[in-house]
Amino acid sequence: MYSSGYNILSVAWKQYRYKLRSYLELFTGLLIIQLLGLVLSLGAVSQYSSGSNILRISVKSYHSSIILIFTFMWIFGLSILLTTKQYMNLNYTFTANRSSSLLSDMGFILTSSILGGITASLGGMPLRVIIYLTVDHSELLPGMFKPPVSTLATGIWAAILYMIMIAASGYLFGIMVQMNKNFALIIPAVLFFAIRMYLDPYIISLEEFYTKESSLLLFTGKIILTGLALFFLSLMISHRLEVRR
Amino acid sequence: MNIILLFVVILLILFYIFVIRSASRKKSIITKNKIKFIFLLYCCLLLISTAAVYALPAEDFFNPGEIENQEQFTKAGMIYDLIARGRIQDIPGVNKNISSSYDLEGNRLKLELSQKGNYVISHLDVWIERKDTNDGKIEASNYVSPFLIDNIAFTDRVIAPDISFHDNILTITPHRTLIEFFRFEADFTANQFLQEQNTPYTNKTAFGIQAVYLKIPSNVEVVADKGLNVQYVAP
Repeated sequence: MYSSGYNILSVAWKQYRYKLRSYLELFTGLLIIQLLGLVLSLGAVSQYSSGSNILRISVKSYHSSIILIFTFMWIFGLSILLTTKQYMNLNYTFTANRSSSLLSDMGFILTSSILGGITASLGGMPLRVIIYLTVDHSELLPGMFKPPVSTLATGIWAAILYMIMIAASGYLFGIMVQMNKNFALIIPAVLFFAIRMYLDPYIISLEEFYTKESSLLLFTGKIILTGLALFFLSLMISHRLEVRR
Repeated sequence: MNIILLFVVILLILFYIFVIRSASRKKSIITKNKIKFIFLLYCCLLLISTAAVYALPAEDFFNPGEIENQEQFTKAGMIYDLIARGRIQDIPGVNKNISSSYDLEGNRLKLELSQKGNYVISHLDVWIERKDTNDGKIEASNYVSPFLIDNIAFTDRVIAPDISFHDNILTITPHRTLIEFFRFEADFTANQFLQEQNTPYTNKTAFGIQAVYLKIPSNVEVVADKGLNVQYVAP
């Protein structure tokens, strides 16, 4: 065990760099899932028609929500993967402890979230180019075709934050599963039954705590605090795990 | 239901991660350098697309008309009442898109509704104003009130009906316009923080009307087809 904070940070930094090189293959998953999202988005995400007997208007709407949701799933899966034995064994390459491993994993998750958030939010751009080249321009509504840079930046920042929180949840879930394999079934089952047992209002309130927050600053604060709390819980559980081993 | 679907999808992904991927991990066919190259290529593609989107000329895009003010919108919604009182020209936002005059022989006018294309327009509003004089002239006009969907005005796209006159028969052939538009929306991640930037008349939707307006001599008898909803103006 290391006694000084400097050493933990130094080891965590080395582990982080090593993991970045070793886990590179995980980013192929990001690429594939985003390309899949892009292909699915080509068919218009939503469509509505309305009008009267002399004029009927059909509007096809496009956005990169599918790409974003797929990327969120990817980061969730990736964070669980980091807690599996196969990936945990990489930590033994270094003389490290759980804290440094967790810190390096946090670093890796943060890097993945930044990459994922940026690429997912920019994923709508090739979509715009494809639609521009394939439809009659006079049928294209300007609206958000060229989103203001501030809107794009806000979207990227929020996507990164969402990904950090999803990844932190996935990581905690993975650590809990490592502690007891039964959690792999129990946690999804509890969530499933919570929905079936009409506990929706509590789940919805929790969801709205994040999704209805219209202040970017407050949202950032909420996500950072939640993320830290989830990682802290993961650390506590993984310490118990280390003691048991 | 959506949450359950999401749950199933997550389970499938987890299955992929834990079972399929773990089994095939040792047989990686792509080298790390290739992965780096492909990922960098993908990032470049995204950046080039972003630059291209901002550089693309947008002049030829559909230019949505906007309603000028709330009064215009409200009054346009009262079009039926105002037309019935002969005040069609006082309605802001209502435009006349055709105007023609025909010489009537005798004092009997027949109105016919003709169809064009596959879609049958079963009814059409026709307002008739009797003039004070018997000048033997039929003045036909067509008015359109604003067609707005989500605050975007599509009024310019409405095609006026064809109006023809032969042997004291005024034939009206309405057209149905079908328009398909494509639009991009901000991502939900950005939308969450953009609520305050909405315009004051957000999501204004009004299906305007098209009104054929006829001015006829006071002594003319009008016989109309079943599909024509004839109403007389009472100033």
